[in-house]
Amino acid sequence: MADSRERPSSTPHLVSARRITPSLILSALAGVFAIAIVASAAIRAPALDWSTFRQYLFSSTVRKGAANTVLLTILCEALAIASGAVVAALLMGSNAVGRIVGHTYQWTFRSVPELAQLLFWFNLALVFPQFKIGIPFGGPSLWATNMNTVMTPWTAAILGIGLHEGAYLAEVFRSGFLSVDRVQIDAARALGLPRRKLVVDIIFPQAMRVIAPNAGSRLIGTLKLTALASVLAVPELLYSVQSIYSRTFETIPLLLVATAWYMLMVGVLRLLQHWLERRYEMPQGAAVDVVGAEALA
Amino acid sequence: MLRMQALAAVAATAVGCLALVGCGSENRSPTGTPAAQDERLHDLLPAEIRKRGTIRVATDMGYAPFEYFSANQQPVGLDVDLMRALEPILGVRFAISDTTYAGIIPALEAKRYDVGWSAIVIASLGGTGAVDFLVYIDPSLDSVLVASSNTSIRKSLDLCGKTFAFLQAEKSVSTDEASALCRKAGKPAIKWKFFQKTPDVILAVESGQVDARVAYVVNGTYYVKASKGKLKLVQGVLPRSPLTMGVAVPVDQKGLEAALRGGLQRLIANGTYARILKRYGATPVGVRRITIRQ
Repeated sequence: MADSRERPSSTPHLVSARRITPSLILSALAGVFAIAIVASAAIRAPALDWSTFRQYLFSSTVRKGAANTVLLTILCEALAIASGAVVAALLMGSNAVGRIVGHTYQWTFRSVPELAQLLFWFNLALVFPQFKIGIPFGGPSLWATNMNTVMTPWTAAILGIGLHEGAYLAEVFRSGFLSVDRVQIDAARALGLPRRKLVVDIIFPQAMRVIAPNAGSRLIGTLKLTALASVLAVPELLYSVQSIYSRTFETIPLLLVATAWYMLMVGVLRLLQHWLERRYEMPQGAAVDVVGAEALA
Repeated sequence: MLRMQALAAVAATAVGCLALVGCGSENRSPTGTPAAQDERLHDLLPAEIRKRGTIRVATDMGYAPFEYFSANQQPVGLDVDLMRALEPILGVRFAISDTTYAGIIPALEAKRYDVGWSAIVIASLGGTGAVDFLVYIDPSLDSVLVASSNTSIRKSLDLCGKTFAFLQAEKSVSTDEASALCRKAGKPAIKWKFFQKTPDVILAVESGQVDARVAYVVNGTYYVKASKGKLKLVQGVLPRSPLTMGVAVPVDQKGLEAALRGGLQRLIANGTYARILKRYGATPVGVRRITIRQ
C-alpha cells in the first residue's frame, strides 16, 4: 500500500544509464554524427551568414528587446495567474452563477485566436471610443478619457496575452486541486485541522506537485506568445530584430539571433521549473504519514 | 511675472528636449539652415495638435527607403526626412508610430493617429471616403523583382501562372493587366500571396516561396542593393501603371490638411523637396504641385 503510493523516484534509471552498454555507445555515435551533419551544413550555408549573427547578437537594440520580452512576460504572467486563480475558484466553487461565469470566460478566451485578441484589444477605441469609470447604463461618469490613451500597445499586449493565458492556467490550477485526494481533506477535517492549515499544509503542497510542471510549461508558452506583441509594435525581442532586418533584409540571421535569446530564456525557465518541482516533491516517508491519515479517516 | 513665464518656458523646453532623442538636430531642415516657422500654417493646425505640439503619424516602418529604422533605431527614410523638414515650418513635431500598412486607415478612423504617412498608394488604401490624400510622390509600377537565380521571366507572357508577393491591402493594376493578357493568350493568370510586412515579402522572393514582387525605381533599387546580389530587377515585362502616393488625412481635418499641403508646397518651392528625393534616387517620381485626392 505504502509502496504503491510513493512517487516513483527518478534515481533508478539514472543508475542503469551509468552502465556502458553497446546500445549506449551506438546511440552516442549516432548522436554525434547527426549533430556533426547539421552543424557543418549550418556553418557552411551562406544564407545563415554567421558574421551578421555575431554582429547583432549583443547589439543594444536586441538587448533592449530581450529585456522588454522578460518584462512583458512577467506582466502577462502576473495577470494570467491572477485571472486564472479567480476563474479556477469560480469553477470549483459551489455558486452555480460563478461556475457559469467561469465557463463563459474560459470558452471566450480559449476560442478567440491569440493574434485576433491582440488586434481586438488594441483597436478597442473603434467600439468604445471613451474609457469611463462611473455609473453604467448611460449614468454620469466620474472619470473619462480617450480609450486610445489607456489602450497603449503595452496595455493591449498584456490584456490580450494575460487574459488568454489565465483561461488555460485556471485549468492547470483546477487539475492541481482536483488531484488532491478527497479522503485527505476529510481526514484533516476529522482531525480538526483549521481551514487555513488545511489549505496551506495539506492541499497546496500536493496540488503544487501537479501544478508546477504544467504551469511551468505554460509559462514557457507565454514567453513565446509575447512575440505576437510585435504586430502592435511593442519593442520586444522579435520586433527588435524585425526593425533591423526591415532595413538590411538579413532576415534569417536576425531570426537566429532572436532564437538564441529565446533559447537562453527558456533554459532559465526550465531551471526555475525544476527547482519548483524539487521543492514540492514528496519528502521521504511522507507517503506513510498520508496513509496513516487516511487510516484515521 | 513675465520673467517667471520665460523661466517656465525655458524649463519646459529643456524637459521636452530630454524626452526627445536628438533634439538639437530636429529643429533644423536637412540642409542645416534653420527654417523659420510659418505662423499662418501653424495657425491652420487644429488647436489640439498645437496644444500637444505633435502630429501623431501612423507609419509602416518596414518600407525602406521611405521609412525604416536606422542602425541606432531612429526612424529614417524619404518620408521621415520630409516630416523633419516640415517640423520647423509648422512649429510642431511628428511623432511616428509603427503600424502595419493595412492597419493605417482603421487606426486613423479610431483617432489613434492624426495622419497616415507611409508611402501610401492611393489606389490600394484610398476610396474609403474616410481620408483625403495629399499627393506628393507619383511613381509608376514598371519592374519585377525576382531572385537572381530566376531566369524564367524574360517576356510578358512568362508572368502567367507565376506567384507574386504582396503586402496585405495592396492592389496592383499592372498585374491585373498582365493577367488579362495571359487569359487572352489562353494561359493561367498571375497568382497572389499576401504578407504582413515588406521583409516577409522580400524573404519569400529570396527563398523562392513566391516567384516575384512588383517594384518601381525607388524601392526596387534599394532591395537589389540591400540583398547583396540575391535579387535582381526585370524591366520591360510588366505593364506600367501609376502608383500615385499620398499622405492620408481624415476628411474632417481640413485645417491639418491645409497646413500640411502648404508646408509641403513650401518644401517644393525652396528646393528641400528636390534634395530629399535626390538622396533616395527618387528624383524621377517627384511632383511639381501638391494635389488632393480621395
